[in-house]
Amino acid sequence: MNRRGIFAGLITLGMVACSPPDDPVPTPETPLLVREPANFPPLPSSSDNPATTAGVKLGRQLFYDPQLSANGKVSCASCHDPAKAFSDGVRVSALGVSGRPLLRHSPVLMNLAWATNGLFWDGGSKNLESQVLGPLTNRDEMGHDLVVLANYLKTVPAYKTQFEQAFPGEAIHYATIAKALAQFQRTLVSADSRYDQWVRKEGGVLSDEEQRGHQLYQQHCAGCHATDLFTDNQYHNNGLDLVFSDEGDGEGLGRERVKFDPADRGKYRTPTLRNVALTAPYMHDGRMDTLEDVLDHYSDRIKTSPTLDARLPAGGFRLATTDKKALLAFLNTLTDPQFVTNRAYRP
Amino acid sequence: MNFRSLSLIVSVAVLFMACTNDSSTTTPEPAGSGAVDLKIEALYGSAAFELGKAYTTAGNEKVTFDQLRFWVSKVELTKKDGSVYEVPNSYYLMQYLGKDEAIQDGTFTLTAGKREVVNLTGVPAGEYTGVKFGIGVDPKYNDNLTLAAGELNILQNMTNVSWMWHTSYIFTKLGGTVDVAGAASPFLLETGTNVNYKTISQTFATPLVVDGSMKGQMTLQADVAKVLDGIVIARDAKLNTTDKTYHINAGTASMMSKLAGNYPVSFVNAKTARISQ
Repeated sequence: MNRRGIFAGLITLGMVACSPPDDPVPTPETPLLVREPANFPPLPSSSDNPATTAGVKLGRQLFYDPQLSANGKVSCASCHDPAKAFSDGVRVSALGVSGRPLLRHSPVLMNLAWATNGLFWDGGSKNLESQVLGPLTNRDEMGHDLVVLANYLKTVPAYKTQFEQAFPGEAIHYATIAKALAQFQRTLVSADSRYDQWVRKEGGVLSDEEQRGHQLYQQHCAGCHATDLFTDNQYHNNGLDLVFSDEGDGEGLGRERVKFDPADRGKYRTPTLRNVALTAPYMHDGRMDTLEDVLDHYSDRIKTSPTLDARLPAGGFRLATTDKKALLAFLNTLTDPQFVTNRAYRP
Repeated sequence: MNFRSLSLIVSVAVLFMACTNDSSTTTPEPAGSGAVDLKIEALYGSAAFELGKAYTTAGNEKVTFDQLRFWVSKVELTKKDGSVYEVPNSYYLMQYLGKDEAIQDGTFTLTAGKREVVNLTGVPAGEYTGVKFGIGVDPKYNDNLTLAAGELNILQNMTNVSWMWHTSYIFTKLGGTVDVAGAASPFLLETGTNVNYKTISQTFATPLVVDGSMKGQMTLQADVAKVLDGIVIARDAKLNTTDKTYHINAGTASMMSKLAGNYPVSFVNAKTARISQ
């Protein structure tokens, strides 16, 4: 072996020696990769908070623990029920510690690893790590004190161990609590509906009517409910109102509250259509009770205001009854029974 | 010993060193590196800024301050040759706080007092001609409240529930009371969000010499009167009828931008000195 050969060998050895041991048994530190369905866009990186087996497990435990709230009665799952694709079935929740109804409808939680263009209906939150601090502390949601919460978690031996495994060398405090919750939420992937099995040619069958509904979806809906995420992760005015109020803290202004630009007035985040049959009621304020109401809105009830999305014709798409029926049939193929029963997502 | 076995031994030694966790030893500093204080003195006009003292603003309002707080971020020192030394983890909370402030319903208390000096250590030897830093928190750290660096911490009352709907630290806070129709009304003027992150760049009249023998000192002055330039609190801030306080914050975006724009202008008179260690 020449000198170069020895060096090359040593460098390889060095890299091996510095790498974690090649161990097939998952350890708490094992990186946990988010599943990447073949029909999804590429997964954005989350290098600031890479998921590990221990981090995700801890995040799941925290997600279902009502002790994360001021009165010990409200958990994240109170408004994000896995059986309803992590939505809550009511227009606006009044389950928070104050009992006061919230100003906006609880959003669904799925495929959040791809949601990198803001969270909340107006996109005010930049990432899941920062987002979770909102509901944890908001007086009308979990209303907790982040110092009291961290002090409490330190007294629970099981949590103490789990935090040490998930975040070695870091304290139990708001940042590690938020990181664990974010890691768990990024694992919530819904990609096994009948539509997925059809589009990935895994044996799923769509009826003629459902396939016609798919064509109508592509024609009228896919502009915003784009890609197989069924959302473009953008903000649009979908013609709900003529006027958007700036009362209170400006929640009614939509994205304008965050961007400070009147061109963003009345724009809200596009929700995914996945599992939409399970996630009534609809819209950012939960004003529509059924999917039939939603289809009627896009067909005949679009209200024109200066920021109305250009994809929406004045008045609406004027869908025939048979078209609405076909669209509804297609939307029902987006229900993912495996997602809502996945034991990995349950406490 | 032939060259091959020597190189093998050296390589193996390097290999082991590369894998060693040397956190127990401090990184060796280049000869002559030293300590430098960054001091930001608050002024009002030409006199020292004082909490609890009555001032009249350029907008002819009678005001008394009870707090001035702001983040200083990403401190950079420019060498004579144009190269830049960025102080690692340089995130500091500067403050004048008049009374103890209960945080999160009183679970902990911010202690009243003045913090106007930051102690930098390990500054490489050299001759520095200027300093640059941010007022606020730069977008990378401002966009993720769980990233740790320096003194960044959301439990300092420089982030709160009303700000968490719009991920951002509160960059600056200036609070007190203002006379409105004969009565003292509280005000709280805050800035935040990435567009309002401002950088301060100051050139020293006399370069700062760091050679390890004496402690360097950079002193800047910030004129609070200039922070309020063009702002009439009772006219431009939004009165919240619940807390009866005049606010400038993310709910009054254009005034917040004006206020944020005043901070860089308020910094003047960068001076350097050498003091005994």
